[in-house]
Amino acid sequence: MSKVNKKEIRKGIDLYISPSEVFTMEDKLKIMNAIQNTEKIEKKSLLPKILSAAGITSLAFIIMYIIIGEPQIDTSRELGEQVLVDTDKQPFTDTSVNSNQAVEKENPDSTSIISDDFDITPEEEIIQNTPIIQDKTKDVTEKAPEEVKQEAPVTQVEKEEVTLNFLKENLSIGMTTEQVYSLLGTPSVGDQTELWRYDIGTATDYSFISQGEDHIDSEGLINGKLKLQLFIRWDSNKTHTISVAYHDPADHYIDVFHRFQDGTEKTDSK
Amino acid sequence: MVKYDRVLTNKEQYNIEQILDLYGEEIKRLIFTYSKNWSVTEDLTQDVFISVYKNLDSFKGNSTIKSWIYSIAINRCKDYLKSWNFKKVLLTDRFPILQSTPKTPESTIIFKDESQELIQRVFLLPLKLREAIILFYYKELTIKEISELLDVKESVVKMRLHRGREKLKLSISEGDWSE
Repeated sequence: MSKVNKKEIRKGIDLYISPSEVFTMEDKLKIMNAIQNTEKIEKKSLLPKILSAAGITSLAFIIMYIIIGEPQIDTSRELGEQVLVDTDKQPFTDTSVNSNQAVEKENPDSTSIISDDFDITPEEEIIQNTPIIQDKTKDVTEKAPEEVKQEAPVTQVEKEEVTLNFLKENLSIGMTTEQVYSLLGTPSVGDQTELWRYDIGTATDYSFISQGEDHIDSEGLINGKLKLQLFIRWDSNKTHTISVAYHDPADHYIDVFHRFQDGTEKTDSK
Repeated sequence: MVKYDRVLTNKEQYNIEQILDLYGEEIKRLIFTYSKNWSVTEDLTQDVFISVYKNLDSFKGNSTIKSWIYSIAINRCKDYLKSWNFKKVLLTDRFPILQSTPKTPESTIIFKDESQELIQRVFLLPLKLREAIILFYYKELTIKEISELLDVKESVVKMRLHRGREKLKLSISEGDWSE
C-alpha cells in the first residue's frame, strides 16, 4: 500500500465522485428557473391573501355597521343637543332606526340591546334629560365588549382542545384527508404533498422557516412559541404515520410521539 | 477564493448567478458525499441554492458566504438523511455506492489505484466520521472551521478525525493520514 497524503486524498475523492464536472450549465439553468418559479408562486400566493384580507375587513366593517351602527347616532345625540330641543324634527334620520322604533311600538316587551336604545321616541326625548340618554349610550357601548368576550372563550376552548392527548385519541392510521381536515383544518405546511405539518398553539409572532419538509422547530417548542408540531405522512390519501413533537419541561428534551402504520407507538427524545 | 468571498460579502453585489458559478460545483460534490446518490444530489443542490437565494437578505456577513452556503448545504443534507424520503430511497436503492461509481474507461483505470480503495472506504464510514474526514481532507477546511460549521467543539472534530482515521487503518493497514 502506497502512502497517501492530504492532496492525494483530495484528488482521489474528487475522482471518485466524478472525474468530470458535475455541476453543468443545465443544472444552473434548472436552478435559475426554479428560483424564478418560486418567486412567481410567492407573488401569486400573495394576491389571494391580500384580497381575502380586504374581503374579511370589509365584511367585518359591514357586520360592525349593522350591529353597533347606532353609536354614531348616540354621538350625534351627544354632540347636537339641538336635536333634542327641536321637537319638530325627527332625531334620527337613519331609516333602519325608524323601522326599529316601529317594531318597538308594536312590541314593547322586546329586550334587545338595539331596541332598548331605540325605544326613545322624539316626545320621550324631550322629557328625558341628557344624562339619561348618556347612560343609555353607555349601555350600548358596555354591552358590545360583552358580546366579544362571549365569543372569545369559545375559540380558546377549541384551541385548547388540541393537546397531545387530543391528537393521540383522535388521530388514527388510515384516516382520510377529509377526516383530518374536519378535525384540524388546513395544515400549516404541505397541503398538496405527502407530508403535512400542523403548527399548534403558536404565538402571534411565531414564524418558522423549515430547512426540510420534516424538520422540527425545536427552538420554537423550547421557547414556548409553539406548543405542538404535528407531522402527518400520507400514503394513498390515508394517514400513514403520525408524529407529534413537543417540549417536555421536566427534562428539557423535545419528545416526539410516533404512531406507525402497523399501529405501534413510540416516543423519541431529542 | 478569498477574494471572491470578500467581494460577495458586500450585500450590494450578491448575485445568485455568480454564486452558482462559484459554488455550484463544490456544493454539489459536497452534497454527494452525504447522499451518495446522484438523483438525490441533484434535488438537494437545487433546494440548497433556492434556500440560499431566499435567505440572502438574512445573511449578515458574520462569516464568509462560502461558510454560510456550506452550512445550509450540510444542514439540508442532514435533514434529508433523517427524513422518510431517505429511508424510502435506502429501501429501494440498497447499494448507492456501487450504483454511483463512475463506469467510464478512465475511472476504471483510476479505481485500480490502491489509494482509490481508501477513498471508497471513506464513503463507507459512518456519517459523523465521514463528514469530518471529507471536510478536513477533501474540502480542506480547518478544524476550527469544521467545528463552527457542525456546531461542535474543536475537540469533537479532532476526535472524529482520529476515529475516522483509525477505522480506515483497520481496513487498510498502511496509509499516512498526515494533517
